[in-house]
Amino acid sequence: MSSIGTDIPLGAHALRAQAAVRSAASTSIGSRIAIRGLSRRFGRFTAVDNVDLQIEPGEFVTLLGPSGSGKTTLLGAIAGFAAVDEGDILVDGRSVRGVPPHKRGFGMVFQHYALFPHMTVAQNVGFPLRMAGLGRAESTRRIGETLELLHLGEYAERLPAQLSGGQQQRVAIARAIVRRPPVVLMDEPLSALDRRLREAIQIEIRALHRTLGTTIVFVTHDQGEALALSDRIAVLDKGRIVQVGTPGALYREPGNEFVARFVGESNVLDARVLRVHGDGVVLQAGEGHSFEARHAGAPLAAGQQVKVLVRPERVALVAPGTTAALAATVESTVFLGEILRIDATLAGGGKVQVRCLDPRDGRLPAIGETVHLAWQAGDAWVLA
Amino acid sequence: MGPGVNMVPAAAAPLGPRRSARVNLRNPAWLLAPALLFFAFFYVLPLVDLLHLSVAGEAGLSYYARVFEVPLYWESLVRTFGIAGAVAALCALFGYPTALLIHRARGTWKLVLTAAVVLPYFISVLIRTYSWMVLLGRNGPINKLLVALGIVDAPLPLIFNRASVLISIGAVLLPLMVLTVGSSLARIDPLVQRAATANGAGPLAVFWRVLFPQTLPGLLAGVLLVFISALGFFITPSLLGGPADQMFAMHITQQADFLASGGFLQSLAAVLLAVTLLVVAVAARFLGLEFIWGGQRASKPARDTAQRRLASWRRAVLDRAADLFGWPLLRALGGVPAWLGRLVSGSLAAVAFLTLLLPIAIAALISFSDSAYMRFPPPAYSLRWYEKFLSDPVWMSSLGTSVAVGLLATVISVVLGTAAAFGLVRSSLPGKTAWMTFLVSPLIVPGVVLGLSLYSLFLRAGLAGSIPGLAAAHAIGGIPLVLVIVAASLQAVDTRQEQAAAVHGASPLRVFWFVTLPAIRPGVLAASFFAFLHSFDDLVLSMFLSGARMTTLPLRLWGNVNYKLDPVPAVVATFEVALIVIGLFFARSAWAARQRR
Repeated sequence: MSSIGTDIPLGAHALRAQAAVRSAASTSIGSRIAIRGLSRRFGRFTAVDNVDLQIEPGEFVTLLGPSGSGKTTLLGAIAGFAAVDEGDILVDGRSVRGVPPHKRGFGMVFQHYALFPHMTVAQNVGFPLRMAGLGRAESTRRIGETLELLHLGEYAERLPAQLSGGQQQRVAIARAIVRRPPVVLMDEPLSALDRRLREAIQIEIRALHRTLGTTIVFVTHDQGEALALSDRIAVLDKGRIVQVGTPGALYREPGNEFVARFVGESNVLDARVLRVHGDGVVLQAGEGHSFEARHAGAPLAAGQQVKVLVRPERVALVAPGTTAALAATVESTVFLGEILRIDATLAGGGKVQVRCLDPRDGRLPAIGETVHLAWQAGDAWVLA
Repeated sequence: MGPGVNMVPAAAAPLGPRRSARVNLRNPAWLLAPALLFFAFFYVLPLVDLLHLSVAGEAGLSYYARVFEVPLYWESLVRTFGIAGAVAALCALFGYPTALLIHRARGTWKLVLTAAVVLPYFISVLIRTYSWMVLLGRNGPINKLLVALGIVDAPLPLIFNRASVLISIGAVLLPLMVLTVGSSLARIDPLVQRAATANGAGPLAVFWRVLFPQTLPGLLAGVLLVFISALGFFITPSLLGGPADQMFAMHITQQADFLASGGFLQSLAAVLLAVTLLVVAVAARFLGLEFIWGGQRASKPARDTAQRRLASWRRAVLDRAADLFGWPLLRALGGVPAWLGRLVSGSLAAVAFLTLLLPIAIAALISFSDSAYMRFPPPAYSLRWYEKFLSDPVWMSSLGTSVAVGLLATVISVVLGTAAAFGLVRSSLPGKTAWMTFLVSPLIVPGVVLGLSLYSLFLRAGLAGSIPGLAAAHAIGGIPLVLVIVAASLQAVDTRQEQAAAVHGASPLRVFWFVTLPAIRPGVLAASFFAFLHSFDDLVLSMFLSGARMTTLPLRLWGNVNYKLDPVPAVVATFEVALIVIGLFFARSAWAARQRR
């Protein structure tokens, strides 16, 4: 009880108020980062493959991808740990090639915190200031200010081992921001925390970002975290960036099947193009009815086979005989609390997941029952 | 090996980090250079010289012919193998249950049992042998007890025979076995045992199917380390053996002048070295060279599928054998009540602890004796021998010499060993196992071989009988000890902490000072302790290299034990035990303080 009580930040509102004050007064202190044709190979394995990415000052950009997709290597290259085989990184227009990590002036939050176990919280947080040769009085003031910002004031003299996971995480964040660096790098900082704590600290990180105005590059394999935090997300797969966009764009209009499946829950159906009109198409899935879908990119021709994405929460259970409804057999139903998850097989083959609110009458479809599924014209998205 | 290796023209890697001193800190293979240079002069050169002397002049291979033709030498070589084998078997029999007992003990009890094994490990072989002489002597406690109980009428000749040699060498090397098996037990995930139990395995099945297969490499490593160490033994058999227990290494030390016999002694040493290396080579075939320094075999992928198939084929045969013979045997044993099994393994462990602790306890008791002779129990108690030891300028000057040599040897070992550990762990040097094997190889070279090889070099270089010379000789064994311990603690350092320091503004040197050094400090301190004791306890190298003027404490003890056998060595033993107990106590409280943090 008490540990949860101390872990969940109570001051997110205070931070937000502070942010409002600052954003009115100051411009962003964040740096612009430009990654140009960056490659990194380990023997025959290419960890990062010709990556281009532009990050605006004060932007919160997440590198999202499965393990082994090259996101941590890319972050390491920005930090200066990893050597680079090809390409360049520009920070505010200047190349950082050959600049060692300790001269880049960034802040960084590590997976599993990487706090110095033999230093107190205050010493950990003050470490970057000490390295910068800041005076004692000024250091003490800045350390105190930063600890207050992260609600760690009373723990200043504790050692890391005497803190809970959430508190250690906030110390790691405090250490990364104490210099008010133009860039803060975060390498899966929340992966060691349980779900509630993770969500609480997500809110805190978001608020800090607004308060400080630094550029943040955040690495995660958790798509939910990426959606919740980022201004923009770069999705990586096999060392390449497959799509960059805002969370909303990635979710609603993913560029390909990988992004569609990796970001959010998805139904990817095989369909055939019946007609093309303007920026919309009419598709037919299996032997079922036809439906409208949105489309961008290369023009489609009638008769072409395509893959189409429909998010599970956009699929509705409808009465039999509704226009454009597809018949499906229920395979399983799972009660998830706020929603109900139904997995069904379409009459023409293909699996569909439905996420809907718990029906008010409490009647759940039985396994083997035939249901009718439909979605609105704008809810289907043709994948390239 | 110098820094020049990294001076690749910048144009060769246009986009890589600049090639400068910074890069050398990232790839610090050059830190191996000081230790390698040291070894080149004090280790490789003397051994080459030794081999050269053994075939020098007109002698050719005639010295070697003599080693294998004269029955005295040939038979003692065979005998040495027999004794080493028997000792290794004894250590396995008593050491394994002991390690198991310690592994299963909890809390304070575990601490006490561990200390009972570690304490004798730190005390010098000479002092422990002396304790055994007291224990088994004609007027020693065992004979007194047998007579008092009326089992025998007159004291038995327990000493100067094969049994006393086996028991005392076994007791001296038992800690090595227990610690080796213990570390392999400690590596086992305790949940695996629980999983086996949860899946229906009884205690015997857990042992045979889970515990034993996983500790088998540890047991084999222990057997081999004990065997190899025993091959070069000469202190214990010299003091406790009879004429029929002559071990091979003793021939080398029994000459008055090590150069008088031409190259013959050198050829004896070369044979001993060759035999030792042969055993190591055969052992490495099965265990990898890592067993020498107690590391685990680096998981190397099999080179081709044929090899892998062979390996799995061999494993299948072993599994089948275990199923066909071992398991029915154990099932039969399973009919035996569990308490009997516990009783047997418990008794073996109890005997092991007795052989480890009893000699020390008896020596401590004797040190307070009032008698000038080794009488047990002492007729009266006094501090007479302490007074003699502390007031005798001869003893005190030996002590001073040993401390001076020990401190200097520690400094050399810690500086060169720590640098080498960084060079190995933190560089991208190819063939690290080979480098590591070379750098720890002095640990397996018998002391008499090292001593003899350095003898003529020291005479020529004017290092004989000097404190720096002897300290350098002791550092040959000290460097590997430091290297192994510091390399292990370096590998345990979380590199993310170092990255965190670097990204927040610390230059590589400051990363080392603020993050790496605090993390490895306990390892470096432990390594210093080991390196000091390695020098302080050494008798063998001092015998060869002290010359006429200098006498270390072990040398004086050696003379005392050989000619007088009064209780002064017991006083030294008690002091050393006290010193080590205090050292372990501080180490533990420092460790506990770290844990609390």
